[in-house]
Amino acid sequence: MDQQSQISDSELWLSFLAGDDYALEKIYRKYYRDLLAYGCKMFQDKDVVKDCIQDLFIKIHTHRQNLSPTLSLRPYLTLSLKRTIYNVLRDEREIYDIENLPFNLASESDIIENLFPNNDEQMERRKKLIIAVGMLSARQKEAIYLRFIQELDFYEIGETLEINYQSARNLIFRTLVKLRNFYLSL
Amino acid sequence: MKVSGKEEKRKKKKEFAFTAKEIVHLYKSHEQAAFLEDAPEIEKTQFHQKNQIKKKQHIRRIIIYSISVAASILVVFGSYLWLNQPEKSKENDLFTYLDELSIGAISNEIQLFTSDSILNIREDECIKYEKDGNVILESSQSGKQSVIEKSRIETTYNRIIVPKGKRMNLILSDGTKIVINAGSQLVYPTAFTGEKREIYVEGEIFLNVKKDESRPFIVKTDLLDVRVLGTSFNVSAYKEDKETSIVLVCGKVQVKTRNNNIEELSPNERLCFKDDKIEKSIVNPYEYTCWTQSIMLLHCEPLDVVFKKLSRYYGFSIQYDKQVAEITMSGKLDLKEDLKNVINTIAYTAPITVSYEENRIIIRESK
Repeated sequence: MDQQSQISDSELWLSFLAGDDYALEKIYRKYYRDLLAYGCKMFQDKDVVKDCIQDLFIKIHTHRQNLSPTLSLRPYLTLSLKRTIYNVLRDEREIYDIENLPFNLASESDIIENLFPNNDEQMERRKKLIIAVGMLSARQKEAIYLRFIQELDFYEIGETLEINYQSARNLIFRTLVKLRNFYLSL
Repeated sequence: MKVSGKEEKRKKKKEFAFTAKEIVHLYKSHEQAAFLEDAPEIEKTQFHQKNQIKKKQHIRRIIIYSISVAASILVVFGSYLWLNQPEKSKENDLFTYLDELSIGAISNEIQLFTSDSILNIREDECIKYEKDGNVILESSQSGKQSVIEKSRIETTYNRIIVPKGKRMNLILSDGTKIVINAGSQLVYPTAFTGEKREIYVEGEIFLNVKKDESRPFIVKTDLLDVRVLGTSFNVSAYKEDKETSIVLVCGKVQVKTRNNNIEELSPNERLCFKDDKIEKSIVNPYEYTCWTQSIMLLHCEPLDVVFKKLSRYYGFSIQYDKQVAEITMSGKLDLKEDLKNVINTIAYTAPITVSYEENRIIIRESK
């Protein structure tokens, strides 16, 4: 059905490195929306995130010669986007602490409405869970976002967070335990 | 007793798992929908460009997604609430200084009141209280620093008044960073001695409090106090508003109201104190902190609130009809633009007519 998914990421990447610009375009189309969604968790202005994604791909295109043929594409894109956004935050004299780049899961206003239709009983449970999620650190929130919403495997999660496979598994496990404890305590 | 305790715990664990699955499912479908209209813009020329690509300017555009006329009843405002002098408590040095510091003439400039001088500050300058006691003025454009006050032996209180139409940045002696919005004033000590860190605010500020577990940080307003250890949050306590609200970005805070109710806030929660009543809700904190980036993010906001905020932000009087107040809009406004541009953009899609006079703007419903 979808021709794009039949070509693997590594094939696309090698193809691009070899000089195929159209391969880069395919990569761009494939990952654009996920990158946008991810970027908005760190910087809430969608237009700026879009600009960052553009900047990122332009950089990739320009520095084609220096890029590794063996990198994992998706984590590489995600990590690079994170660094691009970090630079924007720094430039804008953003006052968040640099060590604590925030990761905000409630980044669109509609999400609050979507999660809480007018049923009171459901609201209490869901509210508790949202509050419990809010108590996690930025890194923990990012970890569960990558695992449960973007549905990455532990290897990809590890690459994105710059830790190994086992550490990624431990992080997710511990985060879930913490989340449940927060939930139970509310 | 023990058996039912175990049973209860098991039930709650199941409830957690069930709720988590629901939320994941809803969140995923929300994300699909939220980013659906954002088609990737393929600019073929850029990928094939051979020359150096210069750094792009991040352009913020004014986007109005939707304007709708709502039949809702709106809050009457424009009524100014003249509050009495804050209560003087004997242990509270902060309030004694509030009275002692001179107000001086009402000015259009940002003013810093120290114990022996009044300084005018430019909007692009950031005031920083260093650990050695020096007070530095740093220009955000040139990065140039100049010492405006040498360190003193004793700690005193300073006051900053930011008039309507201005905004400024401040770093306190403990490293806490504060952005002060238009029409606000802040009173704070030049250095934090003692077992707590206290400041007083009227108006709106966004803070990033430096974590110090030995000294809680307390933000005092007329109606309530906020106590934190290390966190980022927004305080909105304008005298002319009928409500005071706190929005927490991260960390944890404890709020104590003037009728001695105590509430704890978690991230993404907003506490609103109005008519001596507390209301808590879950929000997207960015909606309440985007002013620090010169953006106004609106979600079904009635136009009267919009114009009131714009009037305060730009320091220019805006008057409007009651009918105008009932129109709601969603979208994003770039506050780096001229006020005229912002209002014209709103007028482009909303059923209003605008007339510009010398010292005010009048908005009417268009027939």
